[in-house]
Amino acid sequence: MTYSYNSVCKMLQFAVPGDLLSTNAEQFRVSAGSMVDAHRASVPEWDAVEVDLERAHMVDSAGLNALIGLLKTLKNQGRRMIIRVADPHVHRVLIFTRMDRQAEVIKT
Amino acid sequence: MPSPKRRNFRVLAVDDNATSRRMIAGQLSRLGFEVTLAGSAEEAKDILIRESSALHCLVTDCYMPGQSGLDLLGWLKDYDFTLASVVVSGESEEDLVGRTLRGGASDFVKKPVSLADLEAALSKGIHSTQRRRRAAATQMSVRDAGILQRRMNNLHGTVALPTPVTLCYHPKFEAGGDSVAFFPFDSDRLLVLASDVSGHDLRSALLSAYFQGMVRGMVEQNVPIGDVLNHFNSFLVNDWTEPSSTAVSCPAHVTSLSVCSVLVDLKFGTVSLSSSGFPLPARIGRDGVPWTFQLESGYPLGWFDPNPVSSLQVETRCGDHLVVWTDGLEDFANQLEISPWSLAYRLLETGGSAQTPEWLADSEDDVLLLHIPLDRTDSVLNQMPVLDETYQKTQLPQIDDLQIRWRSSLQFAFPKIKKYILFDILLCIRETVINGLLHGCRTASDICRLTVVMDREKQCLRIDVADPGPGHQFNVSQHAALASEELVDEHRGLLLIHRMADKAELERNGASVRLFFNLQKESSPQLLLS
Repeated sequence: MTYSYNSVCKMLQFAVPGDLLSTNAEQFRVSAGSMVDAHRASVPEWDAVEVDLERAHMVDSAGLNALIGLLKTLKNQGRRMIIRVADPHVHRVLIFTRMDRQAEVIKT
Repeated sequence: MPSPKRRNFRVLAVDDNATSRRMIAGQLSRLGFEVTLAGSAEEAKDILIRESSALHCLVTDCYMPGQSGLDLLGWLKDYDFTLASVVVSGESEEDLVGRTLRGGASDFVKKPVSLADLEAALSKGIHSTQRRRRAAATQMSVRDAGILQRRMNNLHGTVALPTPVTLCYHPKFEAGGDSVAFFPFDSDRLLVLASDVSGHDLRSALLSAYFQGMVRGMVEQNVPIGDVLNHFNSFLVNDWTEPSSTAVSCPAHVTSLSVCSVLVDLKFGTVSLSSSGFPLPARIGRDGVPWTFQLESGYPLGWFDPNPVSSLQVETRCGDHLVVWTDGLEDFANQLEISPWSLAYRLLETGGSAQTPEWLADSEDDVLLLHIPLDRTDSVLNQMPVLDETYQKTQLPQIDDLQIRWRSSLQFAFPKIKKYILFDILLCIRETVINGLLHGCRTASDICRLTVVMDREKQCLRIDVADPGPGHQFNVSQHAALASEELVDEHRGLLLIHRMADKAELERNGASVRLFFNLQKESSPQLLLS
């Protein structure tokens, strides 16, 4: 997973290189969590995280839970989460689990 | 002095130049060959069409008006590839020689032709013709043997069997080592004998035919099948196996035969099985779930003498079916990294056609598959498994690899499956198997079983995942609300499968999950959102 900070949008951006599944969800959770913590201390003015799932063709329940873990952290901090998806199947999974009610889900 | 034997060899010499033609005819005669002459490629073709099988070599000039010697070679390759040819030319550029040999000529001789060069080229050509004709004759014999073998195997269409057996038989070569024999004793009892000889050559086909003949004779004399197999085992060990030609006591070549006998009694509802090194048959219930018999597979015949044959008799249930396959099917499934049930499904979909499907061409072994209905009133195998596997908790980290296998198996069984349906199925299998392994398998020996069954009539796929755990209470609507409003993590997988499957049923508090997918539904991921 790669990350960057967009100072114009005041947004922390995570790019997931492929599927988000039970086999890599924990890695995502730890990496994203530590980046959020690090930026919280060093760059206080950012207000959102964008998770780029455009290269994902499958997200399972463990992957969803990892996203929700991050979402909970951000909500507690008063920050937003944006999820970008390209694959219609992944988009459908996010809608089915009502993630679009808690985060901004953008279909590209 | 020409060899008198050469009089038996006839050579066709082609040259447009009358002088050259006379010269080469003289040389060929001096060498002792019988000669036929042609003044052009076109004339040569007419002679070849009439009598190519009586000729032993073609000697042709390269450059001729109209069609050239190379044109003639190209035509001959298609018409009679067994007849060797020698090309003669005044030119000897490397390019021409190369083109000539690539065109199928066995040799090239430069003009003016010396007697020694011509003799050497013809000797080589005639040997080549003889070798090719022997090979072609052998191939023809093998093909004929294969046709006979298929006829012997394919008794289904010609003999009234008590139950309609489907046979899919695809030998690797023209004649194979796999075979099956049917013995309908009366209107209720049928003995089926499936066998597989080690190797795939003519020797295997011969032994297979010998076995079939011997079995047929002995069974007709009412010899019990166990005695027949014991007798053949002794024959293989003591008479067939070649002794070692060296001081080493190990035999030079061991030929073995694995065999499975199935005696179906439709009246009393029983099936008696025996196996000697043969993959165990599976019984498929009315619900499409396969069960293997508690029977030792034993050793193939020909390994040891004595070689006790293990056997078993079981009562059948309404709607039961039996599926038998040789190890060639399992090996090919392994080669494709798919479930053998997917392969069996696809083969049965061919309806037992004798024509080998294109996708089976890469199999390295004979493939034989039998479907035997065990209930006369329900002889159609409507519920057919396409995947049946068990997993242990230790396999959880390999879930991505398992998913690749599920995908390959389903795509193989259903080549036209819609992408979005396959996605839903895979995600649901993944969620239910993870759930079973994580929560239902507590000890290393606990097993989570995945069975995917196709309802061929309704074109509906059923997925059963069962684990030995106690399950847990789960309320879909309650958890759906908690998960989306309060972001509660638990049971998200179960919620997903409830949304994605066309129908989901949970039993034993969710320790047994049954999902249904309609493979015919016309929709798209976007439409399915509504």
